[in-house]
Amino acid sequence: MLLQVENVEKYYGNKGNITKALDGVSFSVEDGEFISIMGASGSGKTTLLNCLSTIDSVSAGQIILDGSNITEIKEEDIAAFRRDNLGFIFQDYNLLDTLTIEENIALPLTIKELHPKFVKSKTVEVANRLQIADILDKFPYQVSGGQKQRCACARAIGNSPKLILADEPTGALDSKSAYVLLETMKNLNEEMKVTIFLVTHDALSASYAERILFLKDGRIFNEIFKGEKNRNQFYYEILDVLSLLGGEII
Amino acid sequence: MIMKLAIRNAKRQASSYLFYFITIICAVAFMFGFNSLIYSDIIKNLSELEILPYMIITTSIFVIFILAWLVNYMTNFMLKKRSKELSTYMILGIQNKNISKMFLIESFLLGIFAFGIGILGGTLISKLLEAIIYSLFGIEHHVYFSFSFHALSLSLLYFILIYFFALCKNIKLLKKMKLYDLLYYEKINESFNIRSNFLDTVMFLASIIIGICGICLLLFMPIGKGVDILVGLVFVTMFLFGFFRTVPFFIENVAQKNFSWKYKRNRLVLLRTFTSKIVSISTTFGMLSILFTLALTSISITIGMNKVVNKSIELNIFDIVILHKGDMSEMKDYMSTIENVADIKAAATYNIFTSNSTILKNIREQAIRDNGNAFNDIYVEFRYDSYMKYSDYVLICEMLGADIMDLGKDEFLIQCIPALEEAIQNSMESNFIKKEIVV
Repeated sequence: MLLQVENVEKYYGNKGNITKALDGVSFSVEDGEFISIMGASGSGKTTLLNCLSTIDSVSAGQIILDGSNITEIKEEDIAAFRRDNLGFIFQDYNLLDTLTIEENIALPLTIKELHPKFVKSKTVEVANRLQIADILDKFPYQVSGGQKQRCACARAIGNSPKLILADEPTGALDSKSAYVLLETMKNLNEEMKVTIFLVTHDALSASYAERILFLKDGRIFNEIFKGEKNRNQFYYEILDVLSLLGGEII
Repeated sequence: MIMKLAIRNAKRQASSYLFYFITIICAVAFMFGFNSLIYSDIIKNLSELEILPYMIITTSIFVIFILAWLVNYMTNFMLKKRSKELSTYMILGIQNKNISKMFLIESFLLGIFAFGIGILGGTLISKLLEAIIYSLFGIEHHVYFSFSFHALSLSLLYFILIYFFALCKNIKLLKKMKLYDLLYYEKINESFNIRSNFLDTVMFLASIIIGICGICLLLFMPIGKGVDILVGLVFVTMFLFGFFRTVPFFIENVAQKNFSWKYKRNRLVLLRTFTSKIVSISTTFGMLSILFTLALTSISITIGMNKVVNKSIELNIFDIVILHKGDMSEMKDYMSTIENVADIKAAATYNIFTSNSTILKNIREQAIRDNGNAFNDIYVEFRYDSYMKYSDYVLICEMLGADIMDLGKDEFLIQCIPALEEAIQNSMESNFIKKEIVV
């Protein structure tokens, strides 16, 4: 088991005005799994992702990643933990505009102080895999949204992290770019056995996952597995759950 | 990679925040300009004006404070604007201390460039300031290139200190920053805390009253001896700061009571936009308006003083007039000093006598008051009516080639400006002094 989430609670606000964003959330993720979290706006899915990624701290409960309790990591060790264990893909790419696509992919490897030759070969390898080798010398402002997101994806996997956390990665993409990205993520999961944790409100994106957790008001409301179903069948099953869930899925 | 990133970021900062970069260059240029002035020949040439170096040092310190505020504001502003980028560094696993190091290198590079360009501009400004001061004192001069290494060292020291404190503050902030705060910084609504309590309204009205008092002091100068200008400036400064700090709260207070006005047409949006903007930048507005006011007042005072000096030179009919309190024989020392510089065509030395009488002085003061001017007599010799010997008067008239008027027994002459003629005549007549008056 790669990830174990046990009774995680997260409160926001102050005296008299407390919001319970996560309310006793528990689940586990196996190594090499592609899992998706869905839920309405304000259901707590991004809060959960933030807690898993050490961006935010939990109010109660514990999160164990590969045997380490990440809720107990010291402040000064958090950066190194993220660098060694996690890969991030955000809706708005979070690429550095002063670096080329190649340098953006190479940055996490250089932070790890790996040998320059290895950094170069690894960068080219992941770029080839994500079909962005031809734009390596370009700056982010010179490429399309889809290419930017594939660059972010390459950056996330370059470091061979234990877990990739993707927060609405297709949110800013057109349907074709979204399709290419999701196919790429699926391939990475199947071929490289990369564990992916996808937060999305889009049923089509979620249908690429093997398992989906539905959050409602900070609690896990439902859980479905793809199993032997094809993606289309799984997609309709997701829609059925969403209709049961109620509320606007944004 | 950290170094490479820092260099690229510094380049981008310079172009993205060009306005602030140029402002810092200008501030450095002015700081160096004033520092150069302290070490320039002009100060040596005007060594008798003991106050001048202090005035320049005061101005220099003033510029330094502005620069310190600017640097602090700019680095803070950049830090806020770059929250997303900084969060990306953190997400990728760069430690806070390395991000701080990168920020330090970037700021250092930007600072070095701004300083270098500022010094070049400052050299020109120092020459311009020299030209202005020479011109104010009516001294002929030629512009020549000079560079003060003392001024450079002093400016560098100030600049390093300013940057050091601003960066220390920001790096401390950076080290404390949490990834979550940085990542969602842009999504946080601007804190907008409009109070509308009684105290703010009182403070607003008080600032208006203080402002009116300050302007009255500056315009009418009822106290005299420069106190009005000083107090007036303090009052205007208080007004500007108080006004910008409290005006949104006052408007809010008024708007709350007049909802029929507030909810008409698009006034609500206008009101909220205006008050929120002014709340955000009230301190900046206040500071800038104070700076502009003080700068304009200083320029006006300088121009005024220059006019007074030029007018007094115009009114003086002699090339050199020396007023000396003490023994008449000591005047010889002046003569020998002047002879070393220029040939003396003619010279006269005479005594001025005073009694305890203030008849003529009172007439003069009354005439000045009647003309609507404040009494502002700074000369000790005019505290009483003053007299001179007829023989000395004749000697001076001869020097000037003026007509000499004969005086008979028990007769006297009154020398005055034409504007006082009528006043003196009336006074004499009312005091039954039946003499022919020649003005």
